[in-house]
Amino acid sequence: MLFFKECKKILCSLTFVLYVVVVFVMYGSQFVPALESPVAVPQVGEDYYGTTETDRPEVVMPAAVESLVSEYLEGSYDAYPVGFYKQVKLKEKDTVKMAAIIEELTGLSKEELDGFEGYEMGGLFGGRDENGNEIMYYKEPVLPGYELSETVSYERFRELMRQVDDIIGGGSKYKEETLLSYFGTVEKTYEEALEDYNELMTGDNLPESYLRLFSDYAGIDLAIIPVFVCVALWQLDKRSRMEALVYSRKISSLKLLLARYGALVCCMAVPVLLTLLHAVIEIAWLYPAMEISFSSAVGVTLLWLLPSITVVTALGAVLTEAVSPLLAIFAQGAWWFLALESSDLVGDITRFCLIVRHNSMGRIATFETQWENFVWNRCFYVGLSAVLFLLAVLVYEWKRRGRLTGLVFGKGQSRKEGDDENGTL
Amino acid sequence: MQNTIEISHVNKFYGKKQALKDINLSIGQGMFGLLGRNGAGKTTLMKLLATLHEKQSGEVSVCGIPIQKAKEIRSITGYLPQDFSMYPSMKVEECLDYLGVLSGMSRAERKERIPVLLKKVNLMGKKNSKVKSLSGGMKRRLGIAQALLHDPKVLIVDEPTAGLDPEERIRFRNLLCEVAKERIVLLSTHIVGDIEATCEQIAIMNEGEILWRGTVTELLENARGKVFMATVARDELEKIKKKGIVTAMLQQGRNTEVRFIMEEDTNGTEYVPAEPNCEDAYMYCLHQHGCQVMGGEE
Repeated sequence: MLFFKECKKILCSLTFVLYVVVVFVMYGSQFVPALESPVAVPQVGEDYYGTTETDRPEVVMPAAVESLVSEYLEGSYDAYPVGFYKQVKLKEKDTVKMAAIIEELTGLSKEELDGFEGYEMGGLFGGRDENGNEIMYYKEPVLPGYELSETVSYERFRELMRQVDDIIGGGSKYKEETLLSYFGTVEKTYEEALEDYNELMTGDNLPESYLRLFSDYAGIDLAIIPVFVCVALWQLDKRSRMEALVYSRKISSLKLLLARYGALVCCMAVPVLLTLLHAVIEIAWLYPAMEISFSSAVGVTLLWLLPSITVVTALGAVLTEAVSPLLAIFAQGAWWFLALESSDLVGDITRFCLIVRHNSMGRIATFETQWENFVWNRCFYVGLSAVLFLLAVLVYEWKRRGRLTGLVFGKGQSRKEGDDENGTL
Repeated sequence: MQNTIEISHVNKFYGKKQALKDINLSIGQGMFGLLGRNGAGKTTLMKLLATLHEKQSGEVSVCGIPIQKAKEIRSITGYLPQDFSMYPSMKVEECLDYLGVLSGMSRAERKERIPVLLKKVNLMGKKNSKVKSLSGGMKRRLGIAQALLHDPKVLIVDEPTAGLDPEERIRFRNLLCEVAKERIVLLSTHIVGDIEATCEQIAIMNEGEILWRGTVTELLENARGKVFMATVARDELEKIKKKGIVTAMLQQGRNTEVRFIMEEDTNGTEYVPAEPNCEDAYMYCLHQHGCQVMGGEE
């Protein structure tokens, strides 16, 4: 009963209406274009068939070693140890270990590496052409000359890359899970494109691929916007000067907040489910000749998106209750930004990053290799949601009993006591 | 089940500031008034009884239930805070229904009780109006309805008439008297007139302490022979202000008709003894207990 009353409060709020508008607009602008036409069969003679990951040593090894030598000369290594970007600088003993690995791979000694003075960073750069137009161009790095050692097998190379990742502290480009996405990306051939197409049209791959892309886009939105609805509703008692009336009722804090939290999560899931339903219908219409089963794809989508809503809502609730709504919004905004910045579009599903990404209709194998991380990640956030929610209940109960009068937790409460001292103590 | 509130040696601190100092009080059925200045500790005591604050020491029981059993206390207590409102966009009836759910009332109980209360507080005609459209007095009456919703044995009402116009104040006081027939009603106020009109038993609080406890008649009796009236010139008025506590003044041409409390011997003066009213008696009680009373000082 209380749950439905809380739902009604949410559904009638302006913040929730804005939330629905944002969800629909983002869905319409990001995912709906992918539903305009069915995936085309590759034709012979096309200029570009997209990219794919390859495990061919002649592609992966030179690219990875070039990056490693470049980062060694740069003196810093990019990493995402717990999902967040970190620039790692090695201590001397680790630098020696790294130099030894590079020497095994290239024959370049530490002295040669350290003594090389002409290093220039490679990568994509911005600039202007002769007409003054802005352009992007790729520049090869300037590195000391070396040949890849012929005695290092691909297996040994993979082992050395694992060691490199350990030395950096984990989460680097060289780790097992992301090595191919960083260093094995190549343009597809016609045959590969055709093979991918055929794979896409097999079994549940088609709906799963579509809904992975759907989840990728929706996951970004749901890692931030629920906090606004949560904060607005969690603050409603205080803004309406109704706290004391609610605090003095018989209901337990757990039961009350469970109804409120549950109502928030369910109400915020509804527009997402509506867009999902629209997507499912559109996909079915796009491929009228196919018999598509959506059950598994929808299951994965719910596992993908619901934990985002639950954790963002729970963090918003606990921070609003314990500190302030502004801090809740700021903290969630910062977390969202860092998570978005630290996750690659495809092939980089880590265990702790809030935003799970797979921004591709294909790359089915890449997602499948990361399935364990995906499930771990989503279960972790369900667990974290429960912990944060219980923390919110605890803080609420303390405030309700007037136990929290400190600077942070009982800001509202202290102010009231201040009033009391000057007014109606 | 006992029908009293028992408060024994209760102390409460906000940091280093002691808000309640060794409070001892027994409150029985009917209207009980807590009178005191702003900052005397009335709201703190009220919140403590409504389980919204915790004491540092002492014992409190409400109808035999120790105050630590918050859930049980809340089920037999109705609380109307001084500063409150309700969800502005909700309808009056909807608001009461929501609070009824929080009080654990069944749908049937709510359906039966809400119209009865709305009639009692004269808001039946406003049941479909949004809370934000209600006047201050109507909101107060809605407040009393929500406090009575689950038919509590104890009603705690904090400064209920503050900010109300005289007509609404009288209407509200009458309403309180009506509901006090069947339960304990604890009313806090700094408006002496409210107490005089509604309560038989009262306690006066100051700086966290109970200064005095008894009936209104006893309070008036206590001030008998200490209240005077006189029509005096400006010089004489200054003398009275220095020696006593002026409780009322009325300018009459060059002279002033003044009502005051004085403990000194008034024989040989033209001061006329007056029957003390509740306001005089309250001021005298504060003065008697060593509180600095500023009545009439400029």
